[in-house]
Amino acid sequence: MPDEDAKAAAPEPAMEAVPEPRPLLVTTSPHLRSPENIPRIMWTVTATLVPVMAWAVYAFGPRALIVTAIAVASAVATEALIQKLRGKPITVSDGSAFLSGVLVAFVLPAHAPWYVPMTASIFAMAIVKQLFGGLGCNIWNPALMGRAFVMASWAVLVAANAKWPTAFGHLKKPKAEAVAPSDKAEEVDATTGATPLSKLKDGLREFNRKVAKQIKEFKAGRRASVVAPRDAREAWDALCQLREEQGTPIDDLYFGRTGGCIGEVSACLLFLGGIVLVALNYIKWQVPVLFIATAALLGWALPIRIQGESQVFSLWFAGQPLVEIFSGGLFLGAFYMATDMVTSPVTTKGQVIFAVGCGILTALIRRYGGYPEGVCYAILLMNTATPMINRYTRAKVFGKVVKK
Amino acid sequence: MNTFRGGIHPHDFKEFAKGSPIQPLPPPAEATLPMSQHLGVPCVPTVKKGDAVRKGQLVGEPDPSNPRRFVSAPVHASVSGKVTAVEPRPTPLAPSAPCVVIESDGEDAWADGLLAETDPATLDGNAIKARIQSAGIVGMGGAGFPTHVKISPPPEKKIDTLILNAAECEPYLTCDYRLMIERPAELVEGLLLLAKALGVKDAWIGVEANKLDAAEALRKAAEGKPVRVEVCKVKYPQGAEKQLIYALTRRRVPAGGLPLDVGVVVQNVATALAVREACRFQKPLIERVVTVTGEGVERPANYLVRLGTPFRTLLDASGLRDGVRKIIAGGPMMGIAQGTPDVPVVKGTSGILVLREAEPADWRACISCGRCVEACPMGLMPNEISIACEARDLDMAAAVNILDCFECGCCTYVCPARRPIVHWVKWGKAELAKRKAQQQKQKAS
Repeated sequence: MPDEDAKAAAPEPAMEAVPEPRPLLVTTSPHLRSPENIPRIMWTVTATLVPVMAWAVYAFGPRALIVTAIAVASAVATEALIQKLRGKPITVSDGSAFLSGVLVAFVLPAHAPWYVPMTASIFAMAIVKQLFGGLGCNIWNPALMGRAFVMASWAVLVAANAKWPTAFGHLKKPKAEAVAPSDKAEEVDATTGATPLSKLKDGLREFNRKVAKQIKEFKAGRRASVVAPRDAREAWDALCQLREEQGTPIDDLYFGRTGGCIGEVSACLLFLGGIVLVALNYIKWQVPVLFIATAALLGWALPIRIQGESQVFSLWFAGQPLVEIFSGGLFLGAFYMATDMVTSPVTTKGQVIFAVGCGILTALIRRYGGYPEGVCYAILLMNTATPMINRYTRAKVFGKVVKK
Repeated sequence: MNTFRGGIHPHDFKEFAKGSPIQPLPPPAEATLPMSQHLGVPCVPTVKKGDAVRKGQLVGEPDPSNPRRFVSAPVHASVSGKVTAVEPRPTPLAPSAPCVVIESDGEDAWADGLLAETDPATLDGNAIKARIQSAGIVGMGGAGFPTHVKISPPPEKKIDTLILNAAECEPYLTCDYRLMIERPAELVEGLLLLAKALGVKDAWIGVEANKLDAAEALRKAAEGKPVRVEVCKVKYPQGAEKQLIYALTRRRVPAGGLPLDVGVVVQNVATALAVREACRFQKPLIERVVTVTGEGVERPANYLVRLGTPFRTLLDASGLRDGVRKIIAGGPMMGIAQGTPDVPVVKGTSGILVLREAEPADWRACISCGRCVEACPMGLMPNEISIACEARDLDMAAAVNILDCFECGCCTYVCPARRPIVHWVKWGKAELAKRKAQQQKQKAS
């Protein structure tokens, strides 16, 4: 402005005392910002997972750390590479790729060969996240999609009937094993077992199969008698016995002295991290509480089918809610996956629906699905429904009169 | 406690200037008086270069040829002296706008007929309105809506409640707080004059809970008078009209409507004081209290200054520090960043905020965290508005209620992706207005 230039040239007495305040920045209000930002959120969430990681190393051995390191390195490298190829600013320092990498590893078993976490991370970052536009634009939780992808690719390694690492298995390893390293299968057997959920589910399946076989043989006349529950009472007894044989004590489940994925076994430490996230207002308490409560309630209520002598008994309200709560990936899923900002609904109302939906699907898959654990697919399915939930749970405009 | 839905809790930064009593500054050597310091029809100058003027004399009046001239407010000389220029100058509201520039003669002499004291009890409602209108009083909280218009509701709107907005929810600002502490009796008098003009029996005062001493002072001053002092929860934007009305009366102003629609009128603290002076002394609005504050000044303070005083004079009085990045007219949440300190104090200048740190400029894609939706006091979805505007999709922006936004800045304050949501909202609103004007033009032709 010529006006201003003229003024600047003319010496004013006031100007000598005061240094010229330049350059002044002219931007739109507000001129005050909250200290929260994406890197701070991502790194804080990652930090709350440190105790979980420490427990995993303690329980499953250094192998857990190696798998996690592979997953993190692949995730960060993939994101950086794609951003470089696309000519976009490289944003890996914001911690979101790092956190995704950690979560990918946390939903994989510690015995997974190196290419499993690597493939899961690359798929999660390249296809699920960057192909959709990067942070904020992805539809599904990258870590869970990574798991789903490797589960479909190497079912034997990752899926339900695989032998999972048992907690402290690495400590129990016999020393003589070092002498005979050639027998790899045996080594794996010494340190692995089934997860608590798959033990119960497989046990029940096995029981039903056995009884059905007996009945078939009896009908064919190849068998004199059938040992099978004759009424609901006996079915209940059979279930109890099964649980006695195959169940894991609740305190082992709670503290994480059990088999499972790297980051899912210790409900206790995940809960602690979750409390920090709620206190920091990074997640809403409604999501984990409703998710876990719904899964527990339905896990308790939904009928369990027991093959009897003359009929199939459906035992209602026979589930074990505490086992449902503390086993599998429910805590990890409820506190760290279902609360993912990008892939869950925007409003609290939407998140409530989302959490209840996750709980219902988890319980259904656990009870009736082919897999022992349903958290992963439940969340991915609800991620898919998120845009629709958003559409029907919009905020209500202050003072808006609904037209009739 | 009285409050509303949404909002944010930033640190209030009132500690900077809170303890500084109102300090009058001498009249400036040169007063620059913009012809548009209010919402509505701009004034046209009634003086020309070379004219001698005295303090309180009319220098700008609503354009008489404009049929909407009722919605406007006259401008008066704030010093006595000589008109040295009638030309466009930078103002806090526009890079360049018509101004009357007066060089002070140092005498500070009042124009004739002013300052004769009248007992306000002898004035009826219409006389009060007339005095307010001729004194050029506008809402002094920042928006600058002419006060006489606000207290002249159309006859079909029955007003039963008058609220004095003493929330002062903008961080840093303390000018209203100092007025409440130092001049509570005068404030109550001004408020009751407004109530009389509106034909309202009782009035409310809404104070935020971080100013309990001010609430106490007002309570004492209001003893035995039909004034209710109410304390509201400390939350920004408690002082936004619709949110204050809801917090105190639980009435919801309809979207797109005015407080009149629910029978309420809201007035600002400084405005009430100006009303008292206009009614008692026929004093036009020529001065106001301005908070000079922020990390960028040595001595934060509250000054009583003449309108037209350059920001630079106030900054000199408070001592400007090195490394200033921003000079803001108003508070940090809704204030307007200035490109130069050579702009005058106008009727709506409640504060000058000097910051040494600029807010971060890099922003990212929306991560759907929902914080903005939780913070929005209007129940909007700022995430959707920002995405629509980012995509230059005006229809979508209108569909997600961009026009209900009053730009309080809560969404932008909380956004972890640092998205400049208010910036997009201002852009979207301006584009929608442009489009509407174009469509009307097409329809006409």
